[in-house]
Amino acid sequence: MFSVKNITMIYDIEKENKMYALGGFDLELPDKGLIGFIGPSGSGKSTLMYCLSTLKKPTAGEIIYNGKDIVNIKASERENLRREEFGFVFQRHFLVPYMSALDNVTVASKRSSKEVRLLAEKKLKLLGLSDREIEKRPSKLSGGQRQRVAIGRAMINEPKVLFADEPTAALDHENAFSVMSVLKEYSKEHLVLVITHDISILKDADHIIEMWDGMIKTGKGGDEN
Amino acid sequence: MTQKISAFYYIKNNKRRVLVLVVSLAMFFIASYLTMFLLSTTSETFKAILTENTQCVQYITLGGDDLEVYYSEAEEEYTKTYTELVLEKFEKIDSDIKRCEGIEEVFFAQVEYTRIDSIVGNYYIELPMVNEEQMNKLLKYMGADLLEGRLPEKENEVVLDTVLMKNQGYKLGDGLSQNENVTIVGVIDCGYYFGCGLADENKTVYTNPMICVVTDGSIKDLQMTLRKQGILLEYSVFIDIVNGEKNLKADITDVIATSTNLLSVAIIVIVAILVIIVNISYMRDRRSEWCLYASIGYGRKTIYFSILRELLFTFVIAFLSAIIVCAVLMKIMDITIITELGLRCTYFMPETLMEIVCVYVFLFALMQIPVRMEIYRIKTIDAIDDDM
Repeated sequence: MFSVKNITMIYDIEKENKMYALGGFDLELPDKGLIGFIGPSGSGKSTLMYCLSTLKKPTAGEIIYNGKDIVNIKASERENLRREEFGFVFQRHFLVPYMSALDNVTVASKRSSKEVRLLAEKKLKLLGLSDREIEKRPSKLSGGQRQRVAIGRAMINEPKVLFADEPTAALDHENAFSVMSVLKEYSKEHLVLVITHDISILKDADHIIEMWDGMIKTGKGGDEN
Repeated sequence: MTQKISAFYYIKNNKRRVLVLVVSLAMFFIASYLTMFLLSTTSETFKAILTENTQCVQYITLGGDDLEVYYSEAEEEYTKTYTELVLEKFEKIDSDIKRCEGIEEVFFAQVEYTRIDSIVGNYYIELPMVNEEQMNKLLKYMGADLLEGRLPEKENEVVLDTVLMKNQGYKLGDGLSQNENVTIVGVIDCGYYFGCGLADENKTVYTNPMICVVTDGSIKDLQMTLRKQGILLEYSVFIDIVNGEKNLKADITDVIATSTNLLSVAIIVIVAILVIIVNISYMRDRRSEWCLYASIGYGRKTIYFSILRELLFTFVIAFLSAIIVCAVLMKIMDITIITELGLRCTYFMPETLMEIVCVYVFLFALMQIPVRMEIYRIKTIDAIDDDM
């Protein structure tokens, strides 16, 4: 699905001490499966995810998605791709404070309101939220519940690729594994990219990619250089 | 597949905030429209006096040079002689005027006045005091029905239309506020701000002498009509439809317009500042929400149109609710105050409505400034993370 070639991301490019967030590497990602990205802070995991998801444009290199280079496409095409084909779980949950958990999920939907409401309810219940909780605002939910709402929002459009940046960071182990099992289930038909510090939650990952100083260090499965 | 963000997510979850804007905008509408409504009691009532009354009865106050009678011409019995001279002249002019087409009757009348108070300002209405025969003709011509009391039988007695009675709070037997010696003995209903009575025959021409001209409604410019017949009254004052319209514009419409324009500008400035301040604070609170939308694939344009729909909904609700509130308040004021004061008013004021719509459009445009500023500050979440 993704074919990454010589991807390079340099911050402070005009300054003398350039900072290489991504040091120029190739990477192939399959059409489906659960891929884990692991590495210390500043290793370039999030930058890679942002580049793959078109939120950031790499300084150099190619990102081929379904046979098309998505680095130099128009802004509207990038937006369209993010809306139609990608789903996001960010490090911070970024829920809209005035909306209920359910509305936070449906607002990202590209379907009409009636059918999406039922679908969103189903997803949130699958993620462990009760009927009462799905009507609550984020401020009335625990950190773990908020993150599950964010995951529900990411999955509402059944995206082909789901990007999850530390999706279990705010959850206890029991909840973390329950969320990961949902993501694992989702990865049977879709591609799920999970960034995490916690290798224990990646026990069911199809591939684990370790990053270090903007480069891919090792991998379990997958084709990386 | 929908590519827009529903405005109702914000509206249904932020009822208080939306309500603050709706109430502010509606209050502006209500304040502006009700002010004009109350002022309409002045313009509509005075319009009726100045233009409707004059379709039936017009007056000429003869100038000294038109009369060509001067104090110096009076002889031994100074006052009486002068009066006689004037009356003689009046009679001659009367008979000349009667020959004009469209003129039904011409009377020499002593004129009394009664005041009519509006919400803003007041006006003095001519009450022709004539002889009994002329009075009966006048009442018949005006289509007056006696509602209460009796018709004048003695000099210095008058009958007044019910609206004049209500306005000044007169009761039968009261004296006119402008001349206590003139007693109200009856209430009539003729649909005009009208009243008349029996003249004091002992009075001299010094007491408001006028020529009272009853027309068939076809004469708008009495002076011009008379001039065409060779009756040149260059130094006289005419109370006819044309002058009524002129006076209405100069003394009422223009005066009201000046003060209401100042008032409107003050209200608009205050409302604009309030709405902008409220809107700026609301917009700031929502920056991260829009950053999220941008990150998950909604373009700035989509986000902007979503905000526009929210604002549009707010304005439409404010406009419609203000119309309903205004209609109810106007009806209540009409029943409890305006009709009780014998005043006229108008509910539908297209010019005022148009001005309010223009101000709404202006405020809507003004509110785009903070919106546009925030739209250009939208970042995707990766950029927010970089900032952190």
